[in-house]
Amino acid sequence: MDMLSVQSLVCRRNGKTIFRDVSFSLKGGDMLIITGTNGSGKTSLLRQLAGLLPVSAGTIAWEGRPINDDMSAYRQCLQFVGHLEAVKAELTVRETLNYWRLLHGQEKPGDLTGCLSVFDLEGLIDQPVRRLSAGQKRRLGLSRLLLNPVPLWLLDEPGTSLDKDSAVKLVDAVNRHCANGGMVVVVTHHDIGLKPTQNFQLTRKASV
Amino acid sequence: MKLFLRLLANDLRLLARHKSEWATLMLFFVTVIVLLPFALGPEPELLSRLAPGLIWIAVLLMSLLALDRLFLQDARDGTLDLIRLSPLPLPLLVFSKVMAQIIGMLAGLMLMLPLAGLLLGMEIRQLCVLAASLLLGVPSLVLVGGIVAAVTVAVQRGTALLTLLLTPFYIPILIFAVAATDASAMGGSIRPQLLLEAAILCFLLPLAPLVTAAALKQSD
Repeated sequence: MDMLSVQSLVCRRNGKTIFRDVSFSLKGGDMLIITGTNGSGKTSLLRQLAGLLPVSAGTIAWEGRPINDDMSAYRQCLQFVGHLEAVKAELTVRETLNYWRLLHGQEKPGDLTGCLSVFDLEGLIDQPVRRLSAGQKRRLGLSRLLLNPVPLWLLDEPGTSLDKDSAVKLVDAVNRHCANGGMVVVVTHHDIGLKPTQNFQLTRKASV
Repeated sequence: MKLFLRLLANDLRLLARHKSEWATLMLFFVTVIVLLPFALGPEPELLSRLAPGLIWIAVLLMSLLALDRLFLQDARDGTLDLIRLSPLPLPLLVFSKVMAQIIGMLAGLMLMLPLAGLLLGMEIRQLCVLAASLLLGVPSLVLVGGIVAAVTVAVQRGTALLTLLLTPFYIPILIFAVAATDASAMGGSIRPQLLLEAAILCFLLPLAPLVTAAALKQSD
C-alpha cells in the first residue's frame, strides 16, 4: 500500500507557477531522489511535503488521507532536515537534542547515545553548538532523524559540508532506515552514493 | 502542563544565554533615563512629575528593540520550521516563547526601576504605583508585540513595519498605565486604571497566542 502519495501537485508563489503536475507515490522501504536545476522548486516541493508551504493545487495524502485532515498526526510521522540546521549557538549538543525531543512531544529527556553514535557526536555532547564546525553542525542536524523513530524522512541537500566518512555514515543511516521499512525523500544535486528506488526530475513548466 | 513548563524552561534558558543582548537592552533603557534630565533641565519637581511617563516611553522603545528579535532569530536559524513542524499545538509553543520574554523583560525592568526612580527623583509610593502599572502593562505589550513580530516575520519585513504596526496598539496600554500613576500623584484612586490594564491583559492572554500562531503559519 502507498503510504505517501502525491497527485498533480502545483506550486505557485507570488503569482508564478514554479512547478505543476508533480505526482509520485512511496511505500515502505522506498527512497526517492528529487533532482532539478536551481530554482526548479525542489526545496518548495519538500516544504510542501512537510506541510510548511501551502499546496496551490493537487493533493498530498498520507496513508490514504489528505495530510491537512490531521496535520498533527502526520507531523508525528515525519522528520525534516532543511538546509538550515535549526541549531542554537547558545545551547550545548545535549540541550539541543533534548529541545528537539521536547518539540516532538516527548517530555522526558531520554537516552541520547543511540542517536549520537550514528554521526560520531559522542565526544561533543557537552560542547556549545557555537564551537562546532559547519560539518559538525550538519551532523548534529542530521542526528535529529534518529531521535524519534518516524517513518518518513525529508532531507534537503543532506550532504552539504559533510566529509567523506560522514557522507558514508549518512548513506548507511538512510539505507538502514529504508531496510526497516522507512521512506526517504531527498532533494539534492550532489551524488553522495545513495541508491534510490525512484527518481524524479523537476523541470520548470511554462509559467502562466 | 509539565510539558509546558519544560518548554518554558528551555525558552528562558535561551533568553538567559543572550547576555549581551540583555545588557544592550538594559543599557538602552538606562541611557534614555540618564539623558532625560539633561534635555529637560535639572528641576526635581518637573522631573518627578514627568518621570512615570518618561519611564514608560523608555520601556516602549526598549520593547520595540526586544520584540523585533522574538521570532526573527528562529526564522533565520531554521528553528521556526521545527516549531511549525512540531506535533504540539503551535499556540502552546508560541505562548511559552512569549511568557519567557515577559518574564525576562519584567525581571530586567524591576532591577532597573529603582535606579531609574532615583535618577528622576521619584518618591517611593509613586515608584510602587509605576511598578504595578509595568507589571500589568508589559505583558500586554509583549503579547501584542508577539502578534506583530509574527506578522513581520511572515511577510519578511523588518523593524520599520513592526514599529509602524505596533505603535497604535501601544497607545491604549500607555494611556491607562500613565493614568494610574497620574491618579496616584493627584491623591486619587489608582484602582480603576490598574483594573483596566488588567482587563486588557486578560483579553490578550488567551487570544494573542492564537493570533500569533495563525500569523506564523503563513510564513514560508
